[in-house]
Parts: sequence; structure tokens; C-alpha cells
Amino acid sequence: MIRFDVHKVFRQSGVDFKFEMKEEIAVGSITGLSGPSGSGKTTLLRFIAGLEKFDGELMCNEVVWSKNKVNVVDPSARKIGFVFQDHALFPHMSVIRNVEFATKQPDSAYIADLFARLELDDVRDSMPHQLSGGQKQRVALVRALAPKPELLLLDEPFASVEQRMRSRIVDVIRHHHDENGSTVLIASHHDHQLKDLCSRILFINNGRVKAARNYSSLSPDHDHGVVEEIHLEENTALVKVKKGEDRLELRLPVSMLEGVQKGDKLKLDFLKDQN
Amino acid sequence: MFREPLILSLKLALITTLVLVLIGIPLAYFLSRSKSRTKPFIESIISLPLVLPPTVLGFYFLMAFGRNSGLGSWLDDTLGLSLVFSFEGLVIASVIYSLPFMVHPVQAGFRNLPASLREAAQLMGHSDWSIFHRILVPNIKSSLITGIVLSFAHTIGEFGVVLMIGGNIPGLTEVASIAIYKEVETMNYAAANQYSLILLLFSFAILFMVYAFNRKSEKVYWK
Repeated sequence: MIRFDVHKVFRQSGVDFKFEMKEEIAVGSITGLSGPSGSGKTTLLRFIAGLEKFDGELMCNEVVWSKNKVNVVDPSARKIGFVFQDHALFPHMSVIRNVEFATKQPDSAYIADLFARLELDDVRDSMPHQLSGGQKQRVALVRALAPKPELLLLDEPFASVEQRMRSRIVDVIRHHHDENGSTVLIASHHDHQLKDLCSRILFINNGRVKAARNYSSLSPDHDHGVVEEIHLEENTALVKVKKGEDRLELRLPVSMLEGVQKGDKLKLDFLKDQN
Repeated sequence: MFREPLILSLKLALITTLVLVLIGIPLAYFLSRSKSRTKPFIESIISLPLVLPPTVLGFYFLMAFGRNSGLGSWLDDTLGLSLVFSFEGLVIASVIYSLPFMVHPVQAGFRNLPASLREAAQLMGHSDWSIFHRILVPNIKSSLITGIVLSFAHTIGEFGVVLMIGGNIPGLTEVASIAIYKEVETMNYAAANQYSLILLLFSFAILFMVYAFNRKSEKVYWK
């Protein structure tokens, strides 16, 4: 479990921005961080990576990583793969040198597989300034994955990437997670990709977790219910759903129920308000 | 005889620039990252030669290292090193005098690098030294070359400090800029013109190379 209880006050343009979060993230999970720009998503990733000092405590598997502005475990020892928002590709190194620089013992077959999956074979020997924004994004992801990190921190990995390639990126992240059992944290504006990928999403605003939403994609039977009755009203419908031993009554817009019949399975997501 | 001051100027500029590379890069890196309260003090000391008349620097150098000072007589007695009116003294004074020309561009180069480059390499497990010489220094190449060339050119053009500390000893401290002054004093304008023209063309050529290189590297790296 990654546990943190962190706080810090940033002064931006003469205005105080208070960051205050207390959360737990399951090791081996894929967690999304959703929220508007400047809400604190990147800051949280930087805290976890040890790139930013803060008050409070950050623990991973009961080992204190950082406490009160001190990195107890050096960032380099945390086995982190980080995709920075600006990609942080080394400008003087070719794409393949960038990737190989990330690991002391490069697994050539693994790297070649990542290049193929993300359609980067043609730019292996290119320099970063010759790449498009989307290619830089994918190279940054390959570089973060190359050392097979235990903790993968992705800051806007879907930005400047076209829709088709976003799905590829989702597949690559999921594949890495399944193969290595690593913990993944993704900060993104792209809620659709987050919902595809994450078992849990933290909704962040003004430096605080405003809500957490659990998704059932990793445990398919957990949050499904069976439709027992549908009563159509004017624009809404009253739907009675059996979920385990429980029975729920949901009032939903008719448009959401197109094609849904009695006996169908519905996937249920619950928003847990943390305030 | 004509070539001697030019060769001495080149020798002084080369040694000074080499020393400045060795001390200027780490100093610039320290200043670019430091949040210490002493930073403005250090920066002010380094920048003093930009605003101070060279004669002031030369005067204090004479006071500090002259035979009558404690430090000067100690150096002379124990190491046999006399810094006043010697080539070694010229090198030390030139290093101090040209220090801002090396530190300022290199410091700006380090400061302008995205922090994420260093952070990415840090998370990959690279040591501070490895990050410094494999990631940071190669990416401030244009700033570094600017610093090297400006330091070199500035040392070539030194006059006041050199005259105060080195005097005008042919073959030992008589550099090209001093030779021009001497030739003008003796009304030998033809010789003064030759020295001046060589220094003028030389200075223009190296500045032109710097600007051309920087234009090219800006295009390549930060497109």
C-alpha cells in the first residue's frame, strides 16, 4: 500500500495554493488522477517520486519514503518510471539512446516489442527534435517502461496523441501492469482512457481529493447488477437492479437504457464522496 | 620580435580560458541551482570585473601580492613565486578579470535547461556526476562555447589589469594590447596598426563563429 498524508503551501502569483491530501493507493493497482489544470495532479506525482519536498509522510509497503521535507528513500532507489508532461527526452541523444540510458541492463527484446507496439520502429535513430508531439510522448513512455519499474507515474500520457494511438498506449500500460504487477498512477484530462484503464480514479481539485470512484474493470463480477424490472416514465426510467443480495432502485435517463432489457447485466460505478 | 606579444597574448588567453573552464563550469552550475542567501554575494563578487575599472583590480592585486604584502612575501619566501610582474600573476589576474564572461553564459545555460531533464536522469538511477557530464553539460554546448570564446577574446583584449600587474617586460608580460600602446607612445603607427588589425580581425572571426554556431544549435535542439 502506498500511503500518504501530505501537505504543502505553494505561493503562486501572490496567492497561496494549499495542497493537502491523505490517501491510500493499493500496490499493484492502476489509479487515475483526474482534475482540471493546476489542481495538483502533477504535484502529487512529484511528491511520490521524491522530486518535491513536502510536510507530512509518504510510505510504500510500510517503508517511509519521505517525511517532513526529507527523502528517506532516495528517488533513484524507488524503482520509478516517470513520464513527464514535457517528455524530458534528452535532446542530444537519439531515441534509442534515450531509452537505453534509462536502464543499466537494457532488455533489447522487450524494448523492441515496445517500439513495435507503439509504432516507433521508424524513429529509433531519430533525434528528439525530429519527432512529432505524439511520437515524443510514446518515446517517453517506452523510456519509462524500459527498466520495468515497480511504480509507473504517468503525467498526461495521452496528451498530443491521436485517438487510435491512445488505445495502443492503454494496451501497453495494461500489458506492462499485468506482466510486472507494477503500481500505476496516471494523471490525465482524458477521462475516457482513465475509465478504460483504472480500477480507481481520484478526482482532484484545489490540491485536495474531492472524490474517489472505483471501477470494476479489474474484478468483473464485483460491481455488476442484473436488471430485474424497468418502468418507463416520461424522460426517465425506474430500474430495479439486483446486485448480490442487494436490490437497488435507480432513476436513469431513458437515453442511457437504449437496448437494455430485463435480465441484462449492468456495470455499476459508485462515486464515493470524501467530503 | 613582432610575433612575440601576439604569441604571449594567445598563450595567456589559452591558459586563462582553460582555468576558467575548470572552475567556471562547476561554479556556474552551483549558482544556477543554489537557493542560498550567500548567492547574491557570490554573484556580486564574480560580476565586479564587469563594472570595476581594471586599474582598481590591478591595484588591489598589487597590494595583495606585492613583495611588501604578507601574502606576497610569504609566496616568494616559501614557494619562490612572485606574482607581480610575472606571467603567473597575469594568469591569476586574467582569470579573476574574465570570470564573469565564463560564468554568466554558462549559468544561464544551466538555468534554462528544463528541470525535468535532471529529474528524469535522477529517477533512472544516475549519479550527480553522471547527470552533470552526460546530460547537463552536453545540453549547454552553445552557452559553454559562448563562455569560452568570450573569456578567450576578453583576455586577448585586456590592457589595464595586465599593465598594472605585469608591466611591460618584452617576452614575459608584454602582450599584444600592451605592445600597441608602446608602439603608439613611440609614434610607430605602422606597427601599432599591424597589431590592431590582427586583433580586430581575430576578435571579429571568433565572435562570428560563436553567433553562427549558436544559431545552428538553437535550430537543432530547441525546435
